[in-house]
Amino acid sequence: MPYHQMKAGKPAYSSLAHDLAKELTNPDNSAGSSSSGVPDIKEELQTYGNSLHVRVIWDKWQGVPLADRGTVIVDAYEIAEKANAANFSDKARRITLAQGLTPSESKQMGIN
Amino acid sequence: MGLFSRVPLADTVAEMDRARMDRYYDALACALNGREFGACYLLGYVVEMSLKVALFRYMGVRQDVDLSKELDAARQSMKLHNIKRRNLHDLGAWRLLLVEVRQREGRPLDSKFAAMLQGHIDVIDSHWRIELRYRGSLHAQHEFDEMLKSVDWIRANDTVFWEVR
Repeated sequence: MPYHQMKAGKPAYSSLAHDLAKELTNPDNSAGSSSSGVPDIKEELQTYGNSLHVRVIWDKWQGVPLADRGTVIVDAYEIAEKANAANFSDKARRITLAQGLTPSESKQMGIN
Repeated sequence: MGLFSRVPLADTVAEMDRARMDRYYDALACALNGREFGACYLLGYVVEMSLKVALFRYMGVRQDVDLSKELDAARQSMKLHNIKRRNLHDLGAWRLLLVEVRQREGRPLDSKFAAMLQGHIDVIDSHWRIELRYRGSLHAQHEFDEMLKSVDWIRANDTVFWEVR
């Protein structure tokens, strides 16, 4: 019998999701400086499939396993959506790529 | 009679499905004998085949059909979806294609589930490249443990990748 392990968002990371949601709904315009604790959020709308690719460069990913970062990002979009933030309707559902990287990881991967 | 003449010539879903199971147990056998680097190399292929099997099953491809045309179509589809890939063994690209195709057809994977899948693929991708085949072995117990955890998650959940509810 298939085993569907669907539980996401370990409690240890829920504060990260809330921090990120806060930034999504009320962006700090000093962003772009991910090393100062402010996440650098890059959204890319895919015109062919109407999906959304999200990359979050953030020093707070340090110590968060790669396997857990994407769910934190989706959680954050869901929190923002529940808070009825403008322009957030349906965004979480359309995310097909959610990648969290530390500034040094993004530099290694050539993502600025 | 050579071994290669005894295996099926064509790539098919059925054969890939069998091969991914066999490579998984080959990897465990390597790891049990202290050959974790080789085990990691094999586990990467388990994931590559799991993603391809899931995509083709989702697309309704018959088990015994030669996949040459489907593989070409998948490459074209990656271009349409603007999916960048390092090569044809890029695990992130195959995951993204599966998720994008389902999204576009209105049968998306749950976003959190897709993100969890991506997280596990990112773990595998951080350790595995096809180029490992031309590299001498290094101590890789930690990497093997990490990869195995993600591969086991993928194996346990892989029907969700292609099933349509």
